[in-house]
Amino acid sequence: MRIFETQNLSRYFDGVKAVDGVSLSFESERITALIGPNGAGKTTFINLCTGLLKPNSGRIFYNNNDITNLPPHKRVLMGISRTFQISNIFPGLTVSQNIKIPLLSGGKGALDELDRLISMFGFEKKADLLASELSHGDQRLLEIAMSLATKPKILFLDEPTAGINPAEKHKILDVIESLKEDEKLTIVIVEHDMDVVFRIAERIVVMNRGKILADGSPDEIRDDEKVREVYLKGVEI
Amino acid sequence: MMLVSLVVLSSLLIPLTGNKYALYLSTKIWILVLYAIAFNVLFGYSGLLSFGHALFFSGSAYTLAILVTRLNFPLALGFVCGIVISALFSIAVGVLSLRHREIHFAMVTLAFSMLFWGIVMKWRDVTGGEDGITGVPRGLPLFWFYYFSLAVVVLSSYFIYRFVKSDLGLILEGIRENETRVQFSGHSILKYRLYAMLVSGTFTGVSGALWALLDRTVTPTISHWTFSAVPVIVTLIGGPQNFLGPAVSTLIYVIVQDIITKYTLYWQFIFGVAILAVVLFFRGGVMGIVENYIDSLMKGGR
Repeated sequence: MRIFETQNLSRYFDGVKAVDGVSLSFESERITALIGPNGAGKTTFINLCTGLLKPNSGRIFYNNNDITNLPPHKRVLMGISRTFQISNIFPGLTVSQNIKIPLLSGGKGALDELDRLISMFGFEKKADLLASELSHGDQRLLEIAMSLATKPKILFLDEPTAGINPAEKHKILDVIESLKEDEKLTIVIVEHDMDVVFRIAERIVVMNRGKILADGSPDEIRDDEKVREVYLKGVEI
Repeated sequence: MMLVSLVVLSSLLIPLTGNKYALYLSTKIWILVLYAIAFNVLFGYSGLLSFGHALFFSGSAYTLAILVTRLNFPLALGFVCGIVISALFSIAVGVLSLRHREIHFAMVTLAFSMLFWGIVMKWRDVTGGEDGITGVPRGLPLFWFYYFSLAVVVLSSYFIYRFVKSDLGLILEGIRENETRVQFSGHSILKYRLYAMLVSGTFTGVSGALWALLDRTVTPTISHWTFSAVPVIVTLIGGPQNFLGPAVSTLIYVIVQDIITKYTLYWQFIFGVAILAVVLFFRGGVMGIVENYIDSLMKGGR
């Protein structure tokens, strides 16, 4: 089932086409990786999908509803959630308060989820620490926990493993894979690390200069000549 | 908490001293304590610096005075109407100003309060212009009015405390920490800021109404922007991150001002220096210093 779709989505910055007529759709309960060189427009694309930016043209549909002009918080309430490239948490609040704030948007009874999320991410002993006191990897995990607290159907992850040591990276990947199985989530992940991409993605979309260069299964992308040329040149995959 | 109860309980004794001036000054302190605590809902807890709180304070004071002296409203009704007007003002100003941030927000709130000051000065038939309105009844002798004010201030402060410590208050703290993440937590920033504005403005109105009764006059001084600066100053000195910070420094502010004005007219100068010192060297304010001191005592004891 098609859960999310963009049609001809474009966004310009000072005349530069960051996202240039992108039409993509995402099937539910699948993990799609969005890759491409720096400046390809991946993060801008996610910012458009989640409402942080408004597109210059094009439309966005979620479950066949036009959400192009909805503000971020309304999209979140509909089931669209995200994490950011740079950890975006409440550094001066405790771990449990960090998770509580998004839970509160779920209305009465939503707080019952607090303990489940805390134990799911292994934060039992860290619940009362300030978020700023967590390790970088734990902060990334916390942000994923926060983005889950709003009960999303589709989750956009912007480089969730950037700048993280290998041990913590595996922990995050395990969590992401379990999300798809256990929470029936659709996941769109921007990632530079090819190990990560080929480990978890069922579909890979390659962007370059604001456009879609290739779109296919990991095997198809691995063998794609164009992709090798602009992006994977010299990278062992 | 124990300390707070101690202060409140001991202040119950003040009227028994029989010193009228001390009684007047203590009542004034309690009223300004509420003004500062209400202001800090926006500043300390929501990260919004309002420079127009005199609008909510004088809006309520003037409404009470006008209704009671000119239209012969019963005092209690005038009191309630004053507070309601402040609540309405805070919603109106909130809707028009909360899309702005930081200095822009401060400027918009300042502009609205100056507008009101202009009306107060010019609409002489109703507001008495520069002379203000005299002859507001107090309804109670000062002795009992002190207890009334104390009760209203303590109950209001307790309500505000519960508000900032509630789930709603947590979301406001979240907005102060990271606006974007609150949006992406599914909350409308504008809606929660408006709640904060409403609570802050309404309780500022409560303090304004008490003020009109205590002084039995209202003058344009309380609608001037300098009166908006009072809670800004005491909150900065007391420490915006601590619920009682503004209250403690209000006490210091009024007493020190009272003492300094006996010797010199330039009390603002002394306060200017004090504010500079706090802002430059003690970011947590007076309560920050106290907390650090207690922390170091605890550590030393181990």
